[in-house]
Amino acid sequence: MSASAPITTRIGRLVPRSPAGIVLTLLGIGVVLVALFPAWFTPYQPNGINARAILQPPSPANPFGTDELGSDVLARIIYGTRLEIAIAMGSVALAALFAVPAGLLAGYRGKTADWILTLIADSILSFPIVLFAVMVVASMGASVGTLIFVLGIVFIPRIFRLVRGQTQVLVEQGFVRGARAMGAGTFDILLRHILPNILGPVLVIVPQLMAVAILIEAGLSFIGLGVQPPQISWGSLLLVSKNYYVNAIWYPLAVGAVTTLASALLVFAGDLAANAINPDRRSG
Amino acid sequence: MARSGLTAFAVALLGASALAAPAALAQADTTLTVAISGDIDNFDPATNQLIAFQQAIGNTVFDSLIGYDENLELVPRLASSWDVNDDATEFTLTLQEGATFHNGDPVTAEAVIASLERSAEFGGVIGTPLQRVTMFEAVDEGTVRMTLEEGYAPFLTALTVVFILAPDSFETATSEPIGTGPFRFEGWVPNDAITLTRNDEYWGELPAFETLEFRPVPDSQVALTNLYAGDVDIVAEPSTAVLNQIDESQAQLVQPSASNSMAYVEMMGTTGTLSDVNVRRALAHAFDRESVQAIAYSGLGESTPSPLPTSSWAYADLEGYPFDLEAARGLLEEAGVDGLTVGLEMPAGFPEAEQMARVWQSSLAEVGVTLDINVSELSVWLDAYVSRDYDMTWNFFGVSPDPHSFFDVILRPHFEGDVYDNPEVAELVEAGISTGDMAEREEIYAELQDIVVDELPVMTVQSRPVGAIAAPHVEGFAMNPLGWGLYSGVTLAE
Amino acid sequence: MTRLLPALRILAIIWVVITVVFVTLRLTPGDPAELLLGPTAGRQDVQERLADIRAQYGLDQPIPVQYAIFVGNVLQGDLGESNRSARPVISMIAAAAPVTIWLIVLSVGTAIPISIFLGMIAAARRGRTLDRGIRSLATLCMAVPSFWLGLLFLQWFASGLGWFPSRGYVAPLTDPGGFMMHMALPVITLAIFLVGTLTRFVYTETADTLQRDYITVSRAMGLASRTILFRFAAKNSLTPLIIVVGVEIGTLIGGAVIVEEVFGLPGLGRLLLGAVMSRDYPVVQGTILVITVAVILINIAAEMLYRYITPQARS
Repeated sequence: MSASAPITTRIGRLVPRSPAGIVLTLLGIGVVLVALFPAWFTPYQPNGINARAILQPPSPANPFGTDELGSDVLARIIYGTRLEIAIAMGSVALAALFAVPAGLLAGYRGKTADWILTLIADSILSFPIVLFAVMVVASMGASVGTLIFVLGIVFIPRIFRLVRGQTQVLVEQGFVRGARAMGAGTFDILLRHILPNILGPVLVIVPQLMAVAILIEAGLSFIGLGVQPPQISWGSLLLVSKNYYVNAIWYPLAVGAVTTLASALLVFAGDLAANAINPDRRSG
Repeated sequence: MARSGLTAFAVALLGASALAAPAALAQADTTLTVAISGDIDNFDPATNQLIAFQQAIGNTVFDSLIGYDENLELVPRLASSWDVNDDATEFTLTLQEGATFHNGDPVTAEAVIASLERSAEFGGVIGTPLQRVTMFEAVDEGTVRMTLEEGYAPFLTALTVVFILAPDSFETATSEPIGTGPFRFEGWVPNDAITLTRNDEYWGELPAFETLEFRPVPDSQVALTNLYAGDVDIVAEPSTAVLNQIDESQAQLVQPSASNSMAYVEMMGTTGTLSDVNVRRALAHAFDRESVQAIAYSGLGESTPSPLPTSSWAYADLEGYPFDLEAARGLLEEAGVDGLTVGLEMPAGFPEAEQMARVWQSSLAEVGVTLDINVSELSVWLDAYVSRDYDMTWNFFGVSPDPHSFFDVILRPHFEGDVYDNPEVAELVEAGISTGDMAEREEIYAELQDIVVDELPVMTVQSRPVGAIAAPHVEGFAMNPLGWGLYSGVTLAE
Repeated sequence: MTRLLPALRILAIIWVVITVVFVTLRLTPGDPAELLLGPTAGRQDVQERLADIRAQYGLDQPIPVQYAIFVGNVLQGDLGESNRSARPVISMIAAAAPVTIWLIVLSVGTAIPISIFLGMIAAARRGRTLDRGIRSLATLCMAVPSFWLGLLFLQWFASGLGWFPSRGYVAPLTDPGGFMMHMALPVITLAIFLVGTLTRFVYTETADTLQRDYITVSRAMGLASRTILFRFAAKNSLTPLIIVVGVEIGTLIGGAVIVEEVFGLPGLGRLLLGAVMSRDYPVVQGTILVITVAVILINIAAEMLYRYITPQARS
């Protein structure tokens, strides 16, 4: 692996070139636009209430039908995108904030620091997410911040393990040994030589973790730990729509299909990024 | 040691627990399977005071002395008749002849008194009324007399939730209760099944089926699917959304003659902005009863301002607060309130409450009030509710035929705690129970309802459409207005 | 010393987990005694009863004392009694564990052959339509929310078509046929996620192996490509699968909670969730302890198996 390549080259490889990559990137930009400017994409208000249009089946005006309060389901999905992305991105960012420095330290220093940090990471991994989520939500209340916190903690071991492993490999590389021989300080080596080289692999797992975040958010909403109205996330829509599997199947179908598709696309994006950054191993 | 552990493990992995086996092998046609929304883990009628227990186990494994029929009229249960003196201080009950406990012991006045005294000792909502009894007396083998120091008009209705437990099982009732009811307790597999079998020695009418099984299914939609798939015969108390969407060809809707289950919004009346009664009135004016009924309750139930159900003998028809955003704005202005944010707490698992809140939220937004809806896990909500740590909280309550139950259970903590300040209310509530004169009581409760609606310590949402869903082959299933399924009368058609 | 370190690690993880569970449970809002009494727990006339309940379960003791008692009991192998049903925690776990074990064993057992088959076919047909189709399917399997899928299955296959029972559990010896029928939908729901993850893994490993030199050499020597694929690629790419399954066990237990909830299976997931909701401290603590130990043991077993199969990994 060309570990000594400058950071710009390695990150630069993430710029999409294949048709699939370009399509996915455009889709990603589209989703971000939906999240930022939902009103551009639907004429409806997400929290509208219309007692005369409750649970209407799909029609040209309401492609996914209407919900239990007479709101347009598509509009609610569109307005739910913002929180969904905030939760997915926020949790990964929070995890990275703790896991990257910890992983660098554990991988570079080894010994006691490594032992303790790995122990913490393994403990988090052995702790059932559901229980953890119930307790945090009970203490902090159900909100976007709480969900970001829960998922952030859950993701820490995954990023930590990756960073630690990569760092351990890099420490043995010639250029790091060289820098050390020339008297560079720990901080300097970590920041200048190791961090740039692990950024690529870390960025690659971001989309996959975001996909996992969407799925866990859905699961937590199912057991009643999701966001509160009038806030909307896809998980909260899945929770409400599950009351209508019998009489208004399009409603849960639409919400579930959008959720599945979105997380599948994120996984695809991760695969493409992995291929781009690791051209020797074109496998994903 | 290790080997026997392994063997035991292998047996557990492959075999059934002793309880699951008979349930699976029993003739399917004589088992009535009922989906209930939560598991029941304690079968002692004196310590388990939760409504879920009373609804499922209270009237099946046990008998109370006096029971309800399907219209909430008091009817004989373990007491075949009773006699009350004029100032409601002396209650004499005659026990059913030949009644026995499930272990074969006869039901004697002494046994009944032991059970009643035990309930009184444990207190709580069930035992507290019994603590008013100054003397329990076994007049003879089959007659019990209870003497109270002061008159207590709701005493007979209070007896409907005091279930008689065999003295032999006082120590073991948590897991092996022995009652006198039409069904014996057979066993409980956590999260799976509570199994009861017919008590062939029952003093009353025998049920037509042999096994009664309660299955905890927390999600109403899943329970309905279970019913359509033929795995469940009755869904007891499904959510309103599910109640309203059943397919008539696959299931029947069973509803009581009226609903005594009332939904409320309790308000913090002494601290914060809501201590100004005009602010509370403004919030009530922004509450669109019609839309709430149409959307959250699918048009069902009765939307009235009184906290008592319309079927109550004390019900007063009051005008309340018509939906009027102008009036709401005016009251808020008068109170000098601008940009108000109010929290509304509710436990998870009640979609209709969340829908009610969303409707209210959208009309409150129009008068510049932000409604923060906080749906929490039940235990977290309960913590806030019990410690009165809220602006407003949703709640519901099955008002017993005696109107005192609302003022005692829901309102009492308001004026006893620091939530609502009106000494007159406390006096009226006491006056309401100390006389047995119906005309006088009716007057007192009319005044109380008037005050509650005027000052809004509690705002009535509406009555909750109580009901159950039964499979087409279930016949003779009825429900009383409190939402208790009357399972004994069910027959299962082919 | 170095030999002892792994054992020390395991004990340390278990200690950290149960301590964190113990402390956070008590810091989490929600009072077990109030929950036993319901909304009337705030009345003045029930405060005495509330205090009695707290004393009965030792909840009136200072938290450090409660902790000392708890740890002391665990060291003696005593997980205590449920606060609510007064049953021994260990027997509640023993009754629920078989359901979850079967659910996970059957899901893994279903997912592994399917994943190996799909993953290797895709690798062999790399770049073609079949490959793309299989990998897209695998990604979708990974991406679908399991409770949503479970409810759809329930709606279609149990209620609509009536092929399977919609809820409950039957022990395998009591009624083997019924056992399979009852487990079918839950197992499929849980296995779908696993098929997604494992297929992608098998594909990546096999595709890698196929590129390696010795296969190119064998190909040059004229061995049929199908034989190569299954003889060489299989061993090299499938052994790491053991490790992956070990790592996924934690995720599977999380998924089991939701699947058990949807299909009404009385397993460990529902026991845990119910106990958390009712703040039944001893049951939560005991269940977590058992799950943590199980997850760690499974991972150790997976690693040992892996080392046994691939001697070069022993170093």
